[in-house]
Amino acid sequence: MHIPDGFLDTKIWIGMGCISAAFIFIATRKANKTLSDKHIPLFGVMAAFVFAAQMFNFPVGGGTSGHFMGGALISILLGPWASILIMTTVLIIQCLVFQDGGVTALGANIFNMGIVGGFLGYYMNLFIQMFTKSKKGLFIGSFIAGWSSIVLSAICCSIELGLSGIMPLRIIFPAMTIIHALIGIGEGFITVAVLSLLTRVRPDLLQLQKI
Amino acid sequence: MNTPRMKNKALFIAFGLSAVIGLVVLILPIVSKKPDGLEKVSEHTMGFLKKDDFKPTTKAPMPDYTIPGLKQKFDTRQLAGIIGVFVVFGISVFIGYLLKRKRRNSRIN
Repeated sequence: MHIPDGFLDTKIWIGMGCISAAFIFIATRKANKTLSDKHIPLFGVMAAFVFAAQMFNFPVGGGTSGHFMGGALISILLGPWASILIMTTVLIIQCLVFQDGGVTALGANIFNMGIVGGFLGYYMNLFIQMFTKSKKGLFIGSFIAGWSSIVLSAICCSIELGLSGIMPLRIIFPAMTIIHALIGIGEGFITVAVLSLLTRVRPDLLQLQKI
Repeated sequence: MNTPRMKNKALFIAFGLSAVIGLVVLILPIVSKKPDGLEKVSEHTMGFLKKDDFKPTTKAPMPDYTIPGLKQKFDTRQLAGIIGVFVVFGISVFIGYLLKRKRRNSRIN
């Protein structure tokens, strides 16, 4: 879902850049208040994991593949504002070092994957857990959080592209949504898998104060 | 290591990064090379425009996870991926330290 340079209309990529910059600024303030030494190992390892996992494409049919995004996983573990910071770091490195995603499109990509993915993932998980019992609740909640975060990110992405005029919205909206509804299943599974592993080996990490 | 807590952190980081790198080495050879959702959709809808017509605005050292100059002895994506893992880890930890809350009196967290 990394949008390259040239796909987005100037007004759109500047606008998304401003929105993302504002969120990032707020995220740094929040981190300043809450981030402690205890968070840092998870910060680093999760960023590394998300970066790597985004390279592992899996087929979803129709000659298409998808990959893990990570916004929901990180926000469930560390909180939505931390998710913005980590996803931004990963996206910027992917863009500048590996040409994965355009520099001008960073604002949109950060918004779709870091902000939307992070916030929706975090709150969807909390919401689902209101209706389920403790341990199972985390897994059901995180699966749905992972899935829905991908779908909403794809919807935002297609709206940005549609508004840019380069692709007709009536075609890309359903196409992106359906494809990512499938990719979201993978995201859900991977999110649950990582969380269940952490629950077993380092459950204390799930109790960290969320940023 | 000074305290058990620091030992715990170091162990977690060591295990975590090893696991991530292990995944890169094991899984990259078998990942799907098909275009991802956005690429596929744009292939079909942009018709007369080809993706290569869009020039990226910056020059990247390892474009598309290749390593220019390295002969294809083995999958350069794995090496690029491993380098990326360390770069991402290092920078995010650095940012974490820059942003974390400053305590007035330093106590052991």
